[in-house]
Amino acid sequence: MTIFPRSIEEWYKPLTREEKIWIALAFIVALTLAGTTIAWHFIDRSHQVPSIAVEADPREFLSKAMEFSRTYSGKVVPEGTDIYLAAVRFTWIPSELILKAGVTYRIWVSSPDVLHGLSIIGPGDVVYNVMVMPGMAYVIHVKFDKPGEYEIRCNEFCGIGHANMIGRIRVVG
Amino acid sequence: MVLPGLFRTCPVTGLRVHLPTQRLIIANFVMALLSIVIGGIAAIFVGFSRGSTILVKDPEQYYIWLTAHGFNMLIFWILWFEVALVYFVSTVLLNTSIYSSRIGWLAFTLMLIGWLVVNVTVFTGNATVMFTAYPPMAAHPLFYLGYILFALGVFVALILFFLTLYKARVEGTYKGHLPLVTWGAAIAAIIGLTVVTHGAVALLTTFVWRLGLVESIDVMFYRWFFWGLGHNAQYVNVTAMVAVWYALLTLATGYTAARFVNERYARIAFALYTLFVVPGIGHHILVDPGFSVYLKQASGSVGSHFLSVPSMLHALALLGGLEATLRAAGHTGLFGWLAKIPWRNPGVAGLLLSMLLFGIGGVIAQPQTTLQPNLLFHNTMWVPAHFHLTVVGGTTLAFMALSYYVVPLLTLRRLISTRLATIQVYTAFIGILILAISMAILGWLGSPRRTLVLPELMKPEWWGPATLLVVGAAIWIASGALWVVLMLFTVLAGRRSTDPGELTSGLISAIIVKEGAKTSKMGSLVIVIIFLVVIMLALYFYSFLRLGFQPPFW
Ligand code: HEM
Ligand SMILES: [Cu+2]
Ligand SMILES: [Cu+2]
Repeated sequence: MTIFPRSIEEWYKPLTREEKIWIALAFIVALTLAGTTIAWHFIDRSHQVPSIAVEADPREFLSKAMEFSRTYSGKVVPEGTDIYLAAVRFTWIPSELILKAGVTYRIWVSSPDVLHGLSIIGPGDVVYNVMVMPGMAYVIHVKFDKPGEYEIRCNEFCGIGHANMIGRIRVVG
Repeated sequence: MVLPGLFRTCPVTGLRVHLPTQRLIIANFVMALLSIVIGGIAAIFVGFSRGSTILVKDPEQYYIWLTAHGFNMLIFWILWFEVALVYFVSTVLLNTSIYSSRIGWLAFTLMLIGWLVVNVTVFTGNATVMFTAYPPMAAHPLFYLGYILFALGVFVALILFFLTLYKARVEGTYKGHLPLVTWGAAIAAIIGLTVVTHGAVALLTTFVWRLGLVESIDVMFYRWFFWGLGHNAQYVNVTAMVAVWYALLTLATGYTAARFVNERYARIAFALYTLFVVPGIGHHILVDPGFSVYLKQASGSVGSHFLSVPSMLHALALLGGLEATLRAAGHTGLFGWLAKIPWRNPGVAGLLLSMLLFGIGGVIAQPQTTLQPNLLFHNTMWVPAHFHLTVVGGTTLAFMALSYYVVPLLTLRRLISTRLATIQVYTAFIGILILAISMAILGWLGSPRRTLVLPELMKPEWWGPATLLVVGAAIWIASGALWVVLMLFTVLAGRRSTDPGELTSGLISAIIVKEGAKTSKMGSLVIVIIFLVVIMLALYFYSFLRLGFQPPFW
C-alpha cells in the first residue's frame, strides 16, 4: 500500500496488458505533438520563430533607431528599407511605423537597457510575441497583408511604466 | 502516549512519530501557511487590479504586490510545504526519527532568514523585479542574498532528507522497499538538487554582479540557468503533487483503492520524471534571440512534450485504480462507477478535482510549449492561466486536501468540520477554473502578463474576460481563506482526541470490495482518451491553424 513500506514480492508485479496500452498511448500522444513542430518547420516557412540574431552594441543600436525614427516619422517606410526598432524604458523608438501592405520588411529589434517583449496585436486575430534583449538584435521579416492599425505593446515587465509602452504600426494600402 | 525515546504512536495508522521531528514538520508547515496568507493578501491586490476592477491604481504598488505574490506563493508556500512533506514521508512513514534535528533547524533558519530578507526587500520597494529577477534589471544586493540563503536552506533540507533515508535503511527501521509515496518524494528531491545547482549558478553570478565585482552579466546565460531553477522546481511540485495524490487515494478510501494500483508501474512513471525534466528547460526561451532554433526545438518542444508522458501515466493509474475499486464493489457500466465515487469526501474530491485542473493546465501548455505557436502565447496571460491550473489547481489543491488528513493526526485534534472542508475543495475548483479560463481568454486576445492594464489602456475586447477574472479571483480567495480558517481552528481549537474513529470521522469513505470480483479500467482509458486525444489535439492543431492565418513572419 502506497504509504507503507513493502517487500519486493508485494510490489514488483508484471505490467498488465492495460498498462502497456497506457504507456503506448502516452508515448504516441507525445510523439504526435513533437512530430508536428518538426513537420511545421518544413511545411510553413513563413510562420516561424525568427532564426537570425546578431550582437548589437546598445548605444549604437539606440542611435540607429533614433535616426530611423527621425527620417521616417510620418512617412511610409519604402520597400527595401531596414527598420530599426528600439525598446527603451518606457517607449518604443520609433513609436509609430507606417508600412505598406503586401511588402516584406526586415525589422531589427533590440534594447539599450533591460529585457522587453515585442508584442504586435492587431485586428483580425493578429498576435505576435518575441523577446527583446539588450546587446542582441533580433532580425524579423514581416509582411502585413491587410491595411489596418496594429499595436506594439511591451510584454516583458521592464519597470514602473511598462504598461504604457505602447507603439503603433499603421499599415496602408 | 509517549514512548521512551521521544516517540509516540499514531492512534489511527499505528505509525511511530518522533516528537522532535514532528516539531520540525509543524514549524515548516506553519511557515508554509504564513507564506500562503501573505501571498493570498497579495492575490487580493493583484487579482482585483488585473481584472476590470482596478483596486491598485499605482503601478509601483501593483508590481510590488505582484512580486510578493509570485514569491510567497510559488517559491515560499510550495517549498516550505514540500520540506515538511519530505520530512514526514522519510520519518513517520519509515518508522524512524530524522537524521539530525539540528541540521533540520539549520535548514529552517537559513530558509527563514532568506524568507525575511526577500519579503522585506520586496515590500520596501527595493526589489520590484518579479521572482524571475531578470538582469540587467537590478534589485538591492541583499535581495539576491536572501534568495540564495532560502535556496541554500532548501538544499540542506534535501540533503537531510537523503541522510534520513540512508539512516532508516541502515538501521533497518522498515522492512522491504520505500513506500510509493516516499519514493515519489525522493524523485522530487533528486529533481530538487538540479533546481538548486542551476539556481546557484544564476543567482550567485547575479549577486556578484550586483556587488560590483564584475562589469556585466550575460542575459541569455542568466535566463537559461534561472529557468533551470524555475522550470525544474515546477517538476518538484508536480512530483510531490503526484505523491500526494497517491497518499490521498490511499487515505481517503481507507486503504481500499491503493490495492488496485500497480506500484511497479507507478514507480517507473515517477522515475521517468528524472529523465525528462532537465531537457525541458528550453521552453522558456523559445522566442529569445540568440539561442539556436534547433536547441529550442529539441529542448523546448520535443523535450517538453515528453515531459507530459509520466503525468499521463499517473493520471491513468490513479483514475484507473479508483475505477477498479468501484467495479470490485459491484458498480458497473462504462461510466456508471463515476456516480458511485464518494464525491462528498474532501480527500477524494480534492484528488479528482486537483487531477482535473492539472490536466486542463497540461492541455493548454501543449501549444504554448511548441516552438512556433509559442509566438502566439509567449508572455501573454495564457501563461499564468496555465500555471494557475497546474501549481494552484493541481499542487496547491492537492496539498490543501492532504492537510485535512495529516494535520489532525499530527496535532491529535479533530478537523473542525469535514463539511466545510468539502465545500472548500469545491469552491477552490470553481474559483481556480474561472480564474484560469478568464486568464486564458485574455492571453488568447494578446493581453500581456505582468502588466497593470489601466482602463484607458484596455482593448475593448479585454473587458469581458477581465470581469470574469475578478469573479474567479473572489471565489478562490474566499476558498483559500476558508482553508486557512479551517487549519487555524483545527490546530488551536479542534477537539482533542486519540480515538481513531473520531480523528478520521467523515474523512474516510471505505469502499467495500468483493474478493475476486471482476475489475476493469476501461472507463478511465476512455475518459483520458477523450481528454487528451480529442480535446488536447483539437486545441493543439487549432493553434497551428491560427498561426497559419497570421500575416507572414519568419
Ligand atoms: C488566491 C488566489 C489567487 C489569485 C486571485 C491569483 C491571481 C493572479 C493573477 C491575476 C496573476 C497575474 C498577474 C499579472 O501577470 O499581471 C497572478 C500571478 C501569479 N500567481 Fe497567482 N493567484 C492566486 C493564487 C496563486 C497561488 C496559490 C499560486 C502558487 C502556488 C500563485 C502563483 C502565481 C505566480 C507564480 C504568478 C506570476 C507572478 C509573475 O508573473 O511574476 N497564485 N496571480
Ligand atoms: Cu515592458
Ligand atoms: Cu518549465
